[in-house]
Amino acid sequence: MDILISPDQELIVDSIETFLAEQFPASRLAGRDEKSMPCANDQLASLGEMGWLASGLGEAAGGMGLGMVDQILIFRAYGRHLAPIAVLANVIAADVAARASMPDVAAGLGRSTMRACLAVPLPRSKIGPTADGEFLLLDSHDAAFAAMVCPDGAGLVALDRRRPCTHNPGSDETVSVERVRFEDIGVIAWTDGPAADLRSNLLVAAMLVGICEATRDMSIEYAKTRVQFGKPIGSFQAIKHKCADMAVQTEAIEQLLSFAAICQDTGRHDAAFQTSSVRLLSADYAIANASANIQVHGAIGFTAELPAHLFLKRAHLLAQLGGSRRHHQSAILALPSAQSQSDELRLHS
Amino acid sequence: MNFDFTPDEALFREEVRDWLRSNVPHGRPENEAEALDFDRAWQARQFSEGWAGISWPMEYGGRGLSLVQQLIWFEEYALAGGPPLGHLFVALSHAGPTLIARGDESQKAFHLPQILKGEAIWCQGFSEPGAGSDLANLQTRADIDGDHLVVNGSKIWSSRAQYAVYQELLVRTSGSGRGHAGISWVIGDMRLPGITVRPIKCIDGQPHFCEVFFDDVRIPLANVVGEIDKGWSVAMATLGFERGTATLAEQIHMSHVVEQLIDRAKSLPGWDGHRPAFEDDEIASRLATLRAEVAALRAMSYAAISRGLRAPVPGAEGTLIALYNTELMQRIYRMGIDLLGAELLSQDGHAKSWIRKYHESIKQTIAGGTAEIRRNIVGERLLGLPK
Repeated sequence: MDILISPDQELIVDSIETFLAEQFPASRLAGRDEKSMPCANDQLASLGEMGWLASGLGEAAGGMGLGMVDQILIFRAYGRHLAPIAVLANVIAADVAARASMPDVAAGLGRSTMRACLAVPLPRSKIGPTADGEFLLLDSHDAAFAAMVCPDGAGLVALDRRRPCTHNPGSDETVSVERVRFEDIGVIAWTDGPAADLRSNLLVAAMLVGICEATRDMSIEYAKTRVQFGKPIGSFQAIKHKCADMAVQTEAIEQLLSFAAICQDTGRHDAAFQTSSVRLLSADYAIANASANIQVHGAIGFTAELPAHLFLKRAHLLAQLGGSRRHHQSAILALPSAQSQSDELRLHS
Repeated sequence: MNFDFTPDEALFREEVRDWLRSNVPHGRPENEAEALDFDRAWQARQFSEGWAGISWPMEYGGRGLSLVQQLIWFEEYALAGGPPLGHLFVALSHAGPTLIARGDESQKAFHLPQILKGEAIWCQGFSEPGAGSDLANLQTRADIDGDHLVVNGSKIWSSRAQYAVYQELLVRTSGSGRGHAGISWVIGDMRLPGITVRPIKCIDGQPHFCEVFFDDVRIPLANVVGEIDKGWSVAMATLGFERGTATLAEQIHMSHVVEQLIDRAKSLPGWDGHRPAFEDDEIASRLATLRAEVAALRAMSYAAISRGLRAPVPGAEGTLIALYNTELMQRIYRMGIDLLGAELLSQDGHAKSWIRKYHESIKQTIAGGTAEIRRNIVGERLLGLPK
């Protein structure tokens, strides 16, 4: 038993971290006009060429067959660097295609020679073998498919036309948002059962954990260097304790994320419970950390010159993916937890 | 990154489960004085059946097993509804581990078996009226006289000092009267002449801790643990155990309490008097969050044990768990009384024990280092922020 990152996994972490820090530092997005955000396609292409988007796919689809314990490390790094949200779309779509026996489509999505976008259902919209109602498409430029996930399964809708690379900024201005209505459109690929939803929620949680980490680190760095009253502000408890709280929540959520990934990979009975738990808390903690990070920075944190505001906006965006807060809370209460595995517990309570 | 157990560990889990299932005692008295015999008898039983000190060295009566087996023991202990360590908490969670790490041969040979047999209640003598969060300001003096220390001064917030036979005592043996240097960590015998104990009644009416006065108390120099004048590092090791794995059993117990709360919310009436409290969205939301937070705490403990397997001395990471754990515990017991509704006013029946636990939980962010001191430790030692 050892739930910490192993030496082999450290290599994955170093490798993706180095790549993203060189190619896509979060600072690339700061201070830009919201209409001139970098096109997600260009960023996705280089990640696809390096094989990162295919890491979870089997060899038939050109992947490395990595388990969730490894994929969360890659997605934590995406979260830390505000990688385009489209990484999630291509990885989820490739996963659906691979399971729906479409290895060529899966391989194309994995290499990023083919693009998918996420379709986020608005209330009363329906996801299933047919999709119906209003959806928001995220980063739909050039996408061939819209990927949609719900607790019953996941599917791909073939889009009727290719979108040009025009950026329609949403509340997270780094993400382009398009409103569409599907009228009982049949999906071209469908994978049944809750597993796809669990995997996708874990990847969303991993990106939220990455936001917790990045904002904690930004705050610590600033608290060490920013001087007021003749001292680094990190020497004041009002700031130091905020940073400590960010560190506590980050440690808690990193470890829960790892444990949930292990549960998914090993098919433990509480995998769904652990996944909803990490999904619920990671959203709360990422929003809390991103807000605290702005406060630690003071006025400069409120400006668009630093990426601090983008972490907060991204956290709110991710918190809307993969089911609402109440959905996960109700799942948490309905599912067997690790603790309820034995009837002994209730006997003695 | 794995949660695999070896066949030996799985077998150990089965043995532990079988034994605990038929041996765990129930009905620990709520009154602390009455619980004394209960706690000692249960520890003695664990010792005589070979289950005491899972990871303690075999030569002192322990089982000499791994940290993973210690974890398995705690998990199964909580699942079986085992009672809290209670009066033996300081002995088993601080004094024992500190002596194992820093004690000399004769100290270990004398004290460790007594602790494991449940014969020795220990208390802590760290804080003083003028040295709480600022522990290094402690003023209790110990002057060397031949082969003895002569102790004068007073200690406060010593849990269970009225029952203890030994004390982890921090005294000033030399130096300027301030700072880390010149402090020694001493094993104090509470039965020595010159010691007066004054129990202090607390928020829940119970005397949780005491003030202890020392008037020319003669303690043999052989009772100094580690080097004389260099007790600060021993004390930090003690607190490291408290902030690290020592609270593991307690943490696992938390999951048990949250399951109880969920069961109670299903049977107690909610605000409208018709539907159960569980159907109230606000209650359900809080319960779900608590269940998730307990899962996070559990994962943090697994990570702490994983770190322990890689490097056996607890680091400041334990403070992260302590902060999360203690504040979570307070939210859990707050939920406990919020489910009571107006029954909270009565102190009758089932309300009484939840109210008592809520009151007791308030100490969590003060005892063993306040939440504020813990945040300083995290900020300065883990995050590298300036003092």
